[in-house]
This record gives sequence, structure tokens and C-alpha cells, in this order.
Amino acid sequence: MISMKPTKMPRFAYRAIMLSALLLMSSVLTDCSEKALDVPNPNQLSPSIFWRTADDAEKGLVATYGPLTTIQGWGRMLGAILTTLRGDDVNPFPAQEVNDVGTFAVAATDARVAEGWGELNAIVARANQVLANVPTIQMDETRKKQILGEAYFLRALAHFYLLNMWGTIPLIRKPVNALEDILVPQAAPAEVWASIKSDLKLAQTNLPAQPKDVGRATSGAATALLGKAFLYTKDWAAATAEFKKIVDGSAYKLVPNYQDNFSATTNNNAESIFELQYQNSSTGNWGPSGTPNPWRGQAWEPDIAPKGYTSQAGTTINRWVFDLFIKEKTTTGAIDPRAFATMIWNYPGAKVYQDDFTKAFNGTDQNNVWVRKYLNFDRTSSLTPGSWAYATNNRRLIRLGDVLLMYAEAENEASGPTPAAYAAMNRVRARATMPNIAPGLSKDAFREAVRTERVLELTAEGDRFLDLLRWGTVADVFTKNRALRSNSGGQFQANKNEYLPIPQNDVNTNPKMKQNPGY
Amino acid sequence: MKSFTPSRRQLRWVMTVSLVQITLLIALMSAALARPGKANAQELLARRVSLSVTHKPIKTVLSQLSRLTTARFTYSSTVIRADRPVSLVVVNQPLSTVLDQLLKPLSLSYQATDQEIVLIRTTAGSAIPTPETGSQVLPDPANRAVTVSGTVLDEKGGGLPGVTVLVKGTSQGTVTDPQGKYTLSVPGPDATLVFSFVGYLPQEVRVGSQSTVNITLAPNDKILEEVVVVGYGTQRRANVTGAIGSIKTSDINNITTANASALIQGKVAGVRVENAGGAPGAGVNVIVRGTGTFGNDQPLYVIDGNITTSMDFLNPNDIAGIEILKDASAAAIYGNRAANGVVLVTTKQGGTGATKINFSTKVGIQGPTDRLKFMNARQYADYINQAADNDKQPRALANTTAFDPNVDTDWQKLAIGSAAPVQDYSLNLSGGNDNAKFYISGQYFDQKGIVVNSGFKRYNLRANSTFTKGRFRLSEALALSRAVNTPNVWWGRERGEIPTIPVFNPKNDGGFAGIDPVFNGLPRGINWYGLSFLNENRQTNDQMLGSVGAEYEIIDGLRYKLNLGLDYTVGNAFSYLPTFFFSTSQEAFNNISRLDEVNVRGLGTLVEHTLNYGKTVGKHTVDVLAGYTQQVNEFRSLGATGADFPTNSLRVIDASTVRVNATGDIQRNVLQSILGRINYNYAGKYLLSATVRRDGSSRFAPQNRFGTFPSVSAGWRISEESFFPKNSILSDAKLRGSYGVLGSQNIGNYVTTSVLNINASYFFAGGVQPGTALTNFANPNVVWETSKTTDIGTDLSFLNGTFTVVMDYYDRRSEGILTNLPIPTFGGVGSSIVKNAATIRNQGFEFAGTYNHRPGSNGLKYSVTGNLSSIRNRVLALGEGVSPINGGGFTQESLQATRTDVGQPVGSFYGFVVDGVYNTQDQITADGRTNVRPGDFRYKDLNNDGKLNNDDRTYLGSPIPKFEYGAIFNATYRGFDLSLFVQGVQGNKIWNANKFKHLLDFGGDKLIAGTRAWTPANTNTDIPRATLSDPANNRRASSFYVENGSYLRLKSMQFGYTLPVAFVKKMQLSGARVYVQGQNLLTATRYTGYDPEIGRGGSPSQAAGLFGAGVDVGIYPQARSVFAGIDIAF
Repeated sequence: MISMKPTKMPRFAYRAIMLSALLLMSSVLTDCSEKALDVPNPNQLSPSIFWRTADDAEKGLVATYGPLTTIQGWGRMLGAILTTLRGDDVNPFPAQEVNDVGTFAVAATDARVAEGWGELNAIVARANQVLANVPTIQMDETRKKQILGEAYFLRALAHFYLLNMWGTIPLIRKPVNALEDILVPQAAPAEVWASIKSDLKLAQTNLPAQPKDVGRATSGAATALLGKAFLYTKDWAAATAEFKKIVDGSAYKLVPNYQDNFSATTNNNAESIFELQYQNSSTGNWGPSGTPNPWRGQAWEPDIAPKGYTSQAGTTINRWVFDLFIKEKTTTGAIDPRAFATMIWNYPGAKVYQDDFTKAFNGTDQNNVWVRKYLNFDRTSSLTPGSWAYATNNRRLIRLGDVLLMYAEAENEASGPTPAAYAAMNRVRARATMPNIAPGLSKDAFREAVRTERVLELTAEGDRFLDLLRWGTVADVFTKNRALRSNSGGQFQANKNEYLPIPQNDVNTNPKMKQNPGY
Repeated sequence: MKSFTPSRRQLRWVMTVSLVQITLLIALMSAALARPGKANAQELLARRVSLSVTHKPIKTVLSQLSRLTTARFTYSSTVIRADRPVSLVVVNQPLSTVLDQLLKPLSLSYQATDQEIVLIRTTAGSAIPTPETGSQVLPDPANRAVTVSGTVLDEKGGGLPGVTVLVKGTSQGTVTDPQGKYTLSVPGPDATLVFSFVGYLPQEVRVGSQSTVNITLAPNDKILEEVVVVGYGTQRRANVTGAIGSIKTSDINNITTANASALIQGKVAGVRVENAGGAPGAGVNVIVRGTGTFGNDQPLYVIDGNITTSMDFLNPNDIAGIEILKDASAAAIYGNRAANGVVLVTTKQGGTGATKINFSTKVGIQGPTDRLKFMNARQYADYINQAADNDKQPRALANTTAFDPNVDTDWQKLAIGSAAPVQDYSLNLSGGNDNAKFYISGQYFDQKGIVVNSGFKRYNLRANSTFTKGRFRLSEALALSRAVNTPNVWWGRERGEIPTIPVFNPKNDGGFAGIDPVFNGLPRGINWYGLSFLNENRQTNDQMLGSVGAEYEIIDGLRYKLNLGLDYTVGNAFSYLPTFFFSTSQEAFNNISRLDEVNVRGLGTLVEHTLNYGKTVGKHTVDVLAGYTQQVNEFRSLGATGADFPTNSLRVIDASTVRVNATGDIQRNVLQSILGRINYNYAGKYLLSATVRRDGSSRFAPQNRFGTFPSVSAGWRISEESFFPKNSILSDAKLRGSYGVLGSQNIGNYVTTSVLNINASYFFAGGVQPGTALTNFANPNVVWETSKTTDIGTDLSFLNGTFTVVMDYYDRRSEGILTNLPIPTFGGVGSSIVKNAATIRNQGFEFAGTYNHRPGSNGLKYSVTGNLSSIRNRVLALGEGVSPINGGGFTQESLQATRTDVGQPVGSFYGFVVDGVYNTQDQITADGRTNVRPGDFRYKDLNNDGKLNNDDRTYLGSPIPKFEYGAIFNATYRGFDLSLFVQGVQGNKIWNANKFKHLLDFGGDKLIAGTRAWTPANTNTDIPRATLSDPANNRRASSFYVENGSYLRLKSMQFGYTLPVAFVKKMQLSGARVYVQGQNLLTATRYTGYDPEIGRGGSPSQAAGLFGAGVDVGIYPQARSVFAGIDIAF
């Protein structure tokens, strides 16, 4: 202990020493400068230092692909909930707030509608960033051209689905830098179609036939989608011209086994023109592109799987589709092989996943026809292993089988049932060992034949509702056949359910936005 | 003390007079220390004492002597000049000798009575008090000096010795002798005598023509002498002008909890404490005067001067007191973090004297307060068959042909069936002398949850000490703690088990049975009970909270203090999910074992310089505080996920064959502040306080960084006024008022700058490629939220402090509350931007009262303290374009229970109003409803448009109680003590989502209420028909779920017995007490769920957070518990 006594030394000196010791200690410990308050975010990238290098260009482009396969994108919402489940080929059981879209009970506040809308618009926004920023980056010009081509393709693809599913949409073609850039009215559909076609033409010329990585957009993909855009806008000649490049070209071939289009082991096969690449991640998260480690698996499987093999009540195939398959036999008198790849019903030896059909269902459920297409029957249910978001059965967004039928359809509309139209149709049927269609059909009869063939070839692949819509028959089909929604009792309302509601948030927050009729 | 020679065994003392002490004119500083002992004067004076003090005021020395001997000293500070410093060293001397040594050189002597030792000033050779003539008083020639004598009596009529009798306006006076008598010469008949004595109310008497003035002094209200801890200092309760609620140690110990903040519940008016269910170690929400934000509404915690965010880790036995700063005046010194109130916690310090050792232990058993009534297997099968028939679906085999009468599993009983033990061991050592004091404690607390596979353990170590040398003082508080929480995260999951499956199936991986989707007819459902055994969850939190304060008194009254704080935390969250198989149902199997582990390290440093100056000149007393502080908090996290382990027994990342994920981030913020406060009081009558703090926060953009938070308050002690009637029932009265502006910067770090998102990757065949995109807009203009509070209050004391009342009315307006302004999503930059837009108003009335029964001759002593508060919480504005906030998701399909909108309380329940059940198709047709059948809910068409749609929803009540109250009753009688604590809330609603989960949802076991479901044969019912597909959407958010949440609860009852001193002495102890305690013993409530204490705990995925308050998604039930304990002092 210090024996220094305050009385023996001048008091002020003692105090001065003590005080200065304290102050010295404190000044060492204190950084009084205001600079201490400048704490930049050490975890994330500032936008101001991006878009400088070729690497930035690649990353910005990858981000544009990002939304395609998330659960909000084609992983689930666009993969089934907002697309397949709306078709008259399937008949979903009700699952409140899960498939209100499919049972025509959807409201503008539906979260799942907003999710699909959000991911498609994210593609547009990110493509706009690429298209605005990449041209000024100093980099390899060949690759730069391709990057821009891929961005054009993706923007057109997103606009295509936005337009056809929601009817009228805002058309934004520049990066969003301020709130005012978003507060715009919806564009006339023709304007959007013009943008889609213009983007696809640029994509077509910019893109190579062989992509840098499997899964990237190619000139073939741009051509096929451009043809589809012309088909949807009834520009038959232009559609025919584009499809012809694919149909007559040698880049794509029908795979001998129809089922190879819906199986993970035969991903990216010769028939595939643009295919979404799923990723097996057992440990991902539910979340849109931009969240860490989102699931990018085939998460829609439980939405279409049979009852008992899903966390929902399941989805059946409508009886008329089954009847259509059974009506016409193959060249060897057998059932169309596409039927077995598309549906599962109580036929001898039928199996649901690993189980015998007769043991898989109770009572009246045995009489139902269930979905088979895109299901991974090598597993024990739609939920294995461990989670429903694992499967990597890629979504073939555009495949040659479809293009051939679109070509036949466009050709017939443009010039009647020409030999080229017949040839395309019969190519599709031949792969399924189905006999050629009857020669000498009228234009109307051929049209019907193509539409029938589209059911046999494309059931439960997601475009059925859009087909009915562009043919103008959707209201008729659903309102006249209540049985199409017998599982849920859902009722289609004409002049409403043709299009999905614009998400309520976007109507509320953008005064220039008009809600779709009926919502 | 080397300058003293102990070998001489002789008392030596050194007296050093410091600067001339400023003598108070009237205020008498005196001490009445330690309770009067039973010992007589001789005994007292013979007690032996050892003591060593250097340069300490006499009063301090006397107080130490008092503590050592239980003698009670009575004196007038003015007369004996009690501030004079003295030094003294004695070793094992009788008190009489010590007093002689101490007092003689000071010209003081003493007289001992039975209970007291009265100090008096010595005149040559005389022990009789004589008047002391103040030199500054010149006798007025007009007045002739007169001699006045008399007796001062206490409230019981006995003579009161040691009372200071002063001539008002002079220092001329005397003290009463042991019989209470005095004699004094006064200047003339106009003179006024002031009688004052500690613990009694001072009295003034004009002499007039009397020569004998006898008076009776009334005891003072004890609360007024209380010292209250305020921000950066302490204040006498009497001078406090802000709204501060205090909790004493004695009221803390009546609850046994893992979480110290739960101790506050029911004890302070206007402070709502929500237990998030009864899980051991679960979080507790503390809401001071209502929610005034949509973000974090939790108060700031200051523990021994260390500013932090939680007190959960504290050992409750270490807490010396808790003060809650409720209004702006009290809290403003904490500036932009004080908007939600401030909780100040002071931990125990050592006293002087012999080292004390206390050991306490208690053990207890807990069980649930209530259970739900579920269907048995047969009832369940019948109900589900009914549903299948209604849905026109085939009946499941398990419920029909394959029904197994041998299987009837009561899952509830398994999950919360067995009694859960609690153990609590606590040891502390304290002691010291005038120069150094210490308090060291340790605790081990182990609580098993009443839900299977849940538990909590905590280890605490604390060392507090203070050192003094002359004008220098060093204090230190260090707390180390480890908390290990092993929660059952699967409790309360919807779509749970059904009674028709067995618990075990040895054939399955993991050994538990599960639901077969086909056989049981349920697509989803799992054996959560089994999973809770397999899934290992453990959160370990280590914390070190320490502070060192160095204080130096530069000149008298001017003190500089450097306070250094350190808050170091290390947390580990561990979750291992082994492979298992129950069935093919979703989540009922896991093929890939998985380990998630996250480590977080946090370091907070606090540097504070404060300068404090206090001075009294005449009747003016000023206390000034100025300070500069800087606080830096940084958290760094690192986490990894590994999958596919070779065996389930290897549970570290290194053993995983797939390294799935790695995460990590840094969260850092800096706060620099200057602060100042002036407390002024005039004659203890008029009180004024002004506070300002200016904060600079790194969380905001440079142009918005600095904010100033001022407050002002005033008080008026009416009872000090001369016109205030003496000896009225109302013995003390104070009016207070305050206004101030506070801030809340609880908004997270880095929110004002836009960032690029690097998580926008895509998988190309060949591998994942990284993607970068702008995915949101930041708002650089975001600033702190502000809250403006007006408070009017009064402190009243009746019957000389027998009954005290504190009342407050407040109006708190929180402005610039951060809300999410929604923006169109099609811009691809998110769905909202953050904006300071909303306004919330909280108004409330608070009442707190205490009744202290004065012990009578029978020895019965008791007190009752209670509080009551009301609150009105309203959202006044959300901001232009901001939509109502929906929350409280109570289903996996995210049906939501609450809505927050203008004109309503935060988180109000919202939905349709059920108007019975349809009995006929005609009723349905008349209402124009489709997909509805008899037996489905009928809802009110509130807007009478003939349609049922979302416009027919309305507000169904609020989870915020209209009233809350708590009361504590303490009594002692001959060694026995009893403590009762009741607590309750009134006027709130609870959203009982158990009704969804166990009735309307398609999976899980069903409540017995389902047996009353509507059937064509049973139409007089409020339970809808059984259906699993629910086409009419009966499960939508509606009044069906809303129940009255009021409750009154006997929160705690403790009955103890203190063993007789003679008995414990034989056991070489200095004290021992045994007790039994019960918690949550009785509850009066009409709520039909497990327990009405819902809080906002929610479940990991549902109803958690502010907007899920009061939504019961199967909250972990509160425990009813019984403890037995023993406290031993060595």
C-alpha cells in the first residue's frame, strides 16, 4: 500500500498526478474523432464499384438467370401452381392458399401469384442492368455480344410469360435507379410483344448455337421462342419461318424414348431447346433469387403428385385426357406409350412410386387417373429424399416436340395442311409409334388434330392454359365442363380467370397500375 | 497503515481537517443506523470492535461502529460537525474505549441509553448539553433573549433523545438529552424553533410567549429517505422528478426463474413483462409504457453502469435493486436508445465488517398449469371418418377396417407427463472495510423443462469490489456466465401426432413410429415427440460483463469519473439432425444427417468520462453532470453446415462428408455521445431537472448522424410549504411533471446504404456460378425514431409513511417510426423501402401503493404493496401509402391473426365474425355463399352488401391488456415469514390457434370439443362439421379463435422460518432460514388453451415477434412448481 500521505505533499500536486493519470488512461482508450462513426458495411458489395470488369458482366448475367429455378420461379410457382394446375388437363384437389390459382379461387392478395410475378420481373430488372451496363465494359467483344444476347433472351422470356399470364404489364427496359422509374402505367400488349420480338431477334443474332455452358440460352432457343411469340400473335408466316429453322435444322432431334424428356437421368438431351437447370441441394432455403442458398430443385412435384404421395391432397388427370389417350392405339395396337409417361391409373402392374397401385389408394381413389409426368418414381414419394425440393428433373421449357407441333399449327394457319405441316405432326406421332394422321384433312380438321396432338404430347407440361387462352376457348371449356374442377368444385369466371390478378401490392403502390378485370 | 505500530496495541488516531465544510443551515445530516438491538447499554458498550479508518467523516465511522456493534448513534450533524474527517485504528477494543478515543479529542461525549448512544458536545467537565451560540447571530436589541425548555416525544409518547433543536435561521441550537428534554436560549419571542431528527418529520414552532415548548415528532415516510439509482448517479427519492419504478431485493426473491428479467413482472406499474411461455431459458419481453415502434420495443439495460441489451444472464441473487426509468426525464440521459425505457440494475456490494458467507439452495418440482383435453383413438377415428364422409373421400384403413384397439397414444401425456426438477445453488462471500469492500458470488442453476427433452442450465460467477484511498475511489464489477439451453424445438408443431399410431416402431431408423400417408389417410404429420429425442439442439452463451470505474474528487463536490465497460459474448448454436425414418410422410424421414453450427463472438466496449459537481449555497442545491461517452459494439459470426455423416455418433463438421454451407458476417456500430444534466432544488421544496444528450450514431448516414434529446422536469414538494397543514393524514406530498424527447436507434446496422446482392447465383450443368444483382433500395434518409413523453405524477405519503402512493399519467407519442413503405415489386428491387413514417401514441395511468404495518407489541409485521396500470395504445399514422401491417401467422399456410392499422392498437386481432353454424341449405343460399354446406361457419356480412368477402373482416380485440396489476404481501411473525405475490391482466384477448391446430387443420390430434361437431343429428353446436378439405374455409381468421385473455394468478407464495439464533449458533452458523415456495399455484382465467401467459413467443416459424403477440400457436406451457429451500449464513 502506498504510504504517501496527502498531508505531506502539496495537495494540488497529488491531485494533479491522480487526475492526469486518469486522463492519460482515458485518452488512450478513447478515439474521440467522429471518423469512428464511419462504419461501412463490411459484408456486402457497394453498387458503386460494380460493372467495371468482364467478371462483373458475367456475374450480372448469372443473376439474370438466377430467378428461373427458384421455388418462386419455375422451381414451383411457375413450374406448377401458376401454370400446370390451371390447365383443363389436370384437376387439382383443393389446398387452401396453396393452389387457389388452380381452383380459380385466387385473389389479388395471393402470395403465390406475387412470388411468380416477382421472380419474372426480377429477370427483367436484372437483364436491364446487364443491357445498360455491359456495353461500356472493356472486355472480349465476342463474349460481350453473347452476354447481351443472353440478357435479351431472358428479358423476352420473362416478358412473354408475364404478358400471357397477367394480360397487361408495365414495360420497363431500363435499369431502375429511383422510385419514379417504377411508377409507370401498364403498356399496351402490342408494345410488349414488339419488345419481346425485338429482343429475341437481337438474341438470335448475338447468340451462338452452342452455349458456353449447358443451360445458357442459344440462338436456337431464341429462334424457337421468337416463333412462339409470332404464333401467339397469330403472325403465322413469321412463326412458320422461325420454326422452320429449328424443324429443318439438325441441331435438335426427338429422343427415341418419349419419357426421356421428363427424367433426371436424361437431362439436356437432344430434344431440349431451352432447359432450366435444377440443382440438388438438400440444405437450401425457401427464398427467391438473392437469398443465400435458395432451393433450386424440382419443388413442384408435391403439387402434382398423387394423394398419399404428397403433403397435399394431390392432383388427378381429367378423364377426357385419359379417354383421348385410350381412343387411338399405336401401330402395334398398344396404348400410346406417352399415356404411361403422362398418367398413372389402375392398369395391371401399375405402380405409384414404389407401391402397387391397388395398395396405394383406398376406395374411390382407385378409380382416379393420377399424374405421372415429371414425377420421380424411382423414389418413395414426391417428398423423398428428405425434402421435396431435391429433385433435379430439369424443366424442358422448350423442346423440339412442342416446336414441331407449333410449326404444324402455324403452317396450317398460314397455308393450310401442307405436307410440311403433316410431316411435322407425323414426326411427333412416329416417335410414339402412333400411326400417321389421316391424309387430306381440311384446314379446320387439321387444326383440331394439332390441338388434340398437343394434349397427347404436352399434357401437364404447363402451357395448356396458355394454349386455350390464345385459341380463345378457355372460358368456354371451363364454364361448360364443371367436372374439370370436380376435385375442388372450383368455378371459372369468364372475363376474370383468363388472367391472374396483378399482385395487390403493386396496384396499391402504383397509382398508374390497373387491376385486371374481375379482381 | 505502516505509519501505525500495531505492536503498541494502542489506539492512535490522526485527524485531518479538510477544507472547511459548508455547513447546511437546516438540513441535518445524521444517521440512525442498524436496527435497535435488544442489548442494554452496558452490553453495547462492552462489545469489542476492530476498525481501521483513515480520513473519513465522523458520521461514516459512527455508521461503521453501528454496524459492528448494532449500537444506534443519535446526534445532530451540525452540532458535532459530522463531516469532520478522522482516522482511527482499533483492534479488539470495547466500544466504550473506542468512543472515548474517538470523541474526546473532538470535544464530544456520549450518553448511552437502552437503545441509543447519544452524542453531545462537551463543555468543560460537563456532559449536559448546553446551548451553542452562533457567532453570526446578533441578538436584536428589540428582543430580549429568553430561555425555552421542553420535552420532545416520539409518536408513542416516549422521550426522544438526540433531537436537534435549532433556532430557525441560525446555527444556534442544542440536542435533546436521553429523556428527550432540552433547554435553549433564543433571541426573543419571534424566534422559531426547528425540531429535527432522522426518521421523523421536522417541525417548526414559534416560541412566542411560551417558556416551555413540548412537541411530538411524527415519523417520516421512509420512502423519502430512499436513494434511487438514476442514470449516471443516484438521487434521493424525495428529490426525484421523473417517473422511476424501483424493485427491492426482497421483492425479487419471490420468483424462481432462469431468466432474471422475468423478475420484473407485476412489480412496477406501467411495465409489462411477457413470458414467452414457460420454456426454461425462453426469452422474456419487457415493455415499458406500451409499444411505441414496429421494430424492437425492448428497453435498454444498464447493469452497474454497463450499457447492454439484456439482463437475462444475471444471477437473481446478485441483484441489489432494479430501477426502471419510465419517462423522458428519467431516461433522457440515455438519449437515442432510451425511447423504450431503461432498466437499471445494480448488483450487490460488500459491506464493512466481518466477512459474511451465505449459502442458499433450493430444489423444486414442476408440472404444467393445465392440460388440453384431446380425443382418444376411437373418438379420433370416428371424427376423421365423419370428415372423410363429409368430404366424399374414402375412409382411411387405420380408422376403419384396420383400426387397432390396442393403440391409443396420449401424446400430450408423453410430452408433458412427468414432473421436471429444478435445482439452484448459490454461494456468496462479502465483506471488507472502509477502504476496500468485496462481494463474490457463484451460482449453479439447472432447470428441466416440463416438456420432454427441454432444459436449461446456467453457471454464474461475480466479483464486485470497491477501493478507496483519500479522494480516489475505484470500483469494479465483473460477471461471468454460461447459459446452456437445450430446447425442444418440436413442441407445439401443428399437424402433429395422432392417437391411432403407436409411439415406437423398432424397425424404423430412430426407433419411432410415424404416420403412413396411405394407411392413415393423412398426407402429412409426423412423430414430433420422437423427433425431439433424435434432434439435438443446444445453444451455449458465454458472457463476460465487466466494468471498472475510477473516480477522483478534484475539489470538494467535484468528481471526475472514468468508467470503462466491457461486454464480451461468445455464443454457439448447435443443431444435429440424424438420419431417421418414421414414415414416408413429409419431414417424417431424413436420409442425410445434418449439422448446423454457428459461433458468434461479440465485443462491446464502453468508455465514459463524467464530471459531477454538487454544491449547496443557502437554500439552493445544484447538482451538475457532464459527460462524454463512446460505445462500440461488434459481432462477428461464423457458421457451417455439414451433411451426410458416416455415423450419427460423430457430430462435428470435420466428420461430415459434405460441407454444405459456410456463413459469416460482421455487425458493428459506434455511438458517440455527450450528455449533461442539472438538478436544482430550492430548500428541498422546488425541484428542477434538465437533461440533454447528443448522440452520434454510425447507423445513420453522415448528414443524419447526430441527434439531440432534451428533457426537463420539475417537482414541488407541497408538504414542505408552510401552509401545508401539519399532522394531517397526508404527511408528504410531491407533484411532478416532465417532458422530453427520446430516441430509438433499434434499426439494425447498415440499413441506409444500398448493397449488391451476391446471392443471385444460377446452376449451369457443371456447377453453380455466382451472380450479383441489385435487389433492394436503401433509404439513406432513415433516422432514429423519436418519442415525446409528457408525464404528470404525484408521490404521496399518508400517516407518516404508513401508506404511500405514487401515481402517474403519461402521454407518449412515438414519431418517425420506421415502417416499410411498399413499392411495386415489378421493379425488381424489392417490395418496400424503409421510411420514418408512422406515429404511435401510448397513454396510461399508473398507480403504486405500499402499506407498511408498524410492528406492534405482538411482533407481527406486514406490508402490502400493489400496482395497477392502464394503457391505451393506438397507431395514429402509418405514413402515406403504407399499408396496414399483417402479422401473427398461425398456420403453415400463413393465415394471419393480426393487423396493425391507423386507429387500432399495435397487433390487433383481425378477421371475420362467426355468427354460428349453418343448419340448412336455405340459410346458405340466402347468404349467397358457394362451396358451403350445413355445418359450416356462418360469418357476419358486416358491410351488408350481401356478399362475404375480405371487406367483412373487422378488429376482434387486442392482445394488449387494458389493465395490469400486481400485489405483494409480506409478513413476519416470530421467525416465520410469508410472502404472497399475485399478478394479473385484464381486458386482453388471446388468439387460440390450438383450435385451428387441433380442430380445423387436417392433421394432428383433435380436441375433445370436436366430438360436439355439427352433424345433421347434432345441430345445436358452435363447432363446425368435420372436414379435412374445408371447402368453405372454416379455418380462416375469425372470432372463433379469439378468447378472453384476462387472468389473475397467484404467481408465488413463500413460507419461511428463520431458525432461532441460539440454535444456529450451536451449529457454528450465524443464521439459517428454511422455506417452501410455490409458483403459479392458482390461476383464475377463462382461457381454454394451456396458459394465458402467451407473450409473443410463437414457434420457430409462426407468430413470433411484435405482430404475433397473444397468438397461441401451442406455446410452451407455464409450469406450476413447488420448491423447498434453505439459506445459511456463516
